[in-house]
Amino acid sequence: MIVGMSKVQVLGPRRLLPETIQCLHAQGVLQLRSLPDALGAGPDGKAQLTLKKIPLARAEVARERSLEEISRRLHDLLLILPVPKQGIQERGELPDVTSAEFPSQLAVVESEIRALNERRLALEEERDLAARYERLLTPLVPLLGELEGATHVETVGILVRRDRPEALTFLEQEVGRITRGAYTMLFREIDKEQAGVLLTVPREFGRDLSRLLFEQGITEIRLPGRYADQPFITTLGLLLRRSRELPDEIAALEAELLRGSRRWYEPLRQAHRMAQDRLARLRAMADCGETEHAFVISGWVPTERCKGLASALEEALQGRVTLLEHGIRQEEYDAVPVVLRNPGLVQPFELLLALLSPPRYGSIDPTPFLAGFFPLFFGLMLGDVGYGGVALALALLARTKGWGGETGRKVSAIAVASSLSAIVFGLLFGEVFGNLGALVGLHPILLERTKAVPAFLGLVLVLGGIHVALGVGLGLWTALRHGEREKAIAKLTTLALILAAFLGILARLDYVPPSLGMGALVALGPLVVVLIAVEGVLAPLEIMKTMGNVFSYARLMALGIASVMLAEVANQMAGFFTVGIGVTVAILLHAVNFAMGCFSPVIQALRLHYVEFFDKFYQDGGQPYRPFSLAS
Amino acid sequence: MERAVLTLSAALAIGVSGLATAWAQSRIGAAGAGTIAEKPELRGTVIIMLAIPETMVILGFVVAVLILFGR
Repeated sequence: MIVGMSKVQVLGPRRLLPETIQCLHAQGVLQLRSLPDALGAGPDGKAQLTLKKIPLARAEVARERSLEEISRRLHDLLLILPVPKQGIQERGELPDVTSAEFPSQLAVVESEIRALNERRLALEEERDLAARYERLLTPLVPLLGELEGATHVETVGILVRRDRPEALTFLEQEVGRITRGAYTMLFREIDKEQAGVLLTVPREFGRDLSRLLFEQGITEIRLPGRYADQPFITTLGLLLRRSRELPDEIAALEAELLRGSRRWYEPLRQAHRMAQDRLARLRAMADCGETEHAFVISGWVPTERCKGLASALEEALQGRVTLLEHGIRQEEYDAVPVVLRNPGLVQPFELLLALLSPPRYGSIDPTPFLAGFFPLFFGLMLGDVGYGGVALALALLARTKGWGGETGRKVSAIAVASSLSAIVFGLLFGEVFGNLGALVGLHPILLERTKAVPAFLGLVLVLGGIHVALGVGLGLWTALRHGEREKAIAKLTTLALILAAFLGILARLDYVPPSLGMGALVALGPLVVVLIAVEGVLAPLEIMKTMGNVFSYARLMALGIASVMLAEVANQMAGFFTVGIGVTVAILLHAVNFAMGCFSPVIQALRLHYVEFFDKFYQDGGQPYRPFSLAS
Repeated sequence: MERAVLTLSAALAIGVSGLATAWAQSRIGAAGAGTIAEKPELRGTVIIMLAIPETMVILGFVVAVLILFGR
């Protein structure tokens, strides 16, 4: 359900504004409204000009800029430092973020951490470079000895694309022409796209070779600056040696950074949060209004928290500040923040709603319906005791291990409900990993999906009709609640049309007396006329769309049959091979079917809700609730 | 002969609608991937858009089932 909100105003003497903001910040329940939104018309219809925005004093603007700068630096440092997992030893001390000495102390810590980080980055770059060329360099090592003494030659490393072998042929021809055949050329593949080439030419041709490479746009191997002044051949040897030394040097630096993190991570994090809180309080001033002697803060609070907030203000400011609660007009609903609250079992399904924008204030929260129908649809599609059992075991394992944090906990709760539903439907369909249920004495109770296809189709279409009718019913209730008469009549007529069509089909199948079916069919005409009168000439298209929505539930049958057929194919495959190979192939196919059987039903069940069900009543565009609360 | 025609009709019903769905989904999927890369908050809308053409193949499947079993 959507929690009721109140529009509140906090009023008090101008001098108490900082303390009031501090108190509201600590309470963390008020979502501020900026002043232009909060300004209303006076009794004479004119804007209340006496209420104006509170300008920040020059000192406050300077403090805001300083806090922004400090916050940015702290944030950058926290990104550099690894998060310490073990206990903190020798925790460092930092002064208050607003104190005069904080920037200088921060600068000391910052220079220490940044120096370590820069050294680490330089070493990592060198390591990556060495690793990249190691495949090229390693086979050349035996040749280095021969070339090292040759001071009259120049060696150049280049990169060429492997998909252009003609470029290499051309290069070789040109180098041969320039040096009159006095060159050596060594070739080595680096990866799928590139190959490395080592070219050695007499020193007097070095300049001509460089010009040729430049003109042909051939990439020369770039080496770190520390090797810049050395001959290429010496550099190769050094790089190879360094590639063996670098991992230890990097590990030592990382250990040093971790030591620094154990000392400074927590103080820096706290300082960052403090800076964020101070900044939030300063910025909150811009949302407040003032008259000559008083201030006004406007915002939204969950109605149930209003009394608590009023008491906290009363206690903190000795009754010198007042909290006024106002009703919310329907035209303000678009601006009201939305808080969802559902019982423990239903609450995880709010995650599925998070893929859309929140419901508008004053509309219906569809989470309870998602909690009911999502597992039902999933179970109808997967419908297998074996697959359901495996899914349940995985969900419980994820829950026990705490995988994925809070989101993981919600996902696992949804998975538990859905897999239990799959197990129940598996029992009703008599399926354990397809047709293996018969081996353990399990027989279909409701229907056998592979054989009773029309019955299965009928079942899912009836379910679809109920789901769509429920959506139309919720739309009717919303229209009545908001006093939208015409919309309510249209929804009621659509509901009656679905019922009439349903009765007509049941009469055709001899489930109800033919007279009832005939009556329903006769009623269809007047109902369509009423709908056209209310909704216009496009109403018949809406009827077709609603019918299409119901037929869309046939996907529950389609995916269900596909799942059981694949499982049966997996079982049959086992018989085509020897026992060992057959069982392995069957397990692999079941694993593929299980993965598909978990993924596809989720998407399809979501789609049935988002497109077919929500279309009938869901009003999106709600504002998320972001209370003015402490970061620390 | 009649059985062969029925089977061929069922195969066509699901085959053609499957091709149509695949074509539509390839276009929507490519556009959707670009959309999510730029605006991740639209992933819900993209999932809906991507699942919409599946109605074609599912209705094709239903028609195929009715051709094979609906007599």
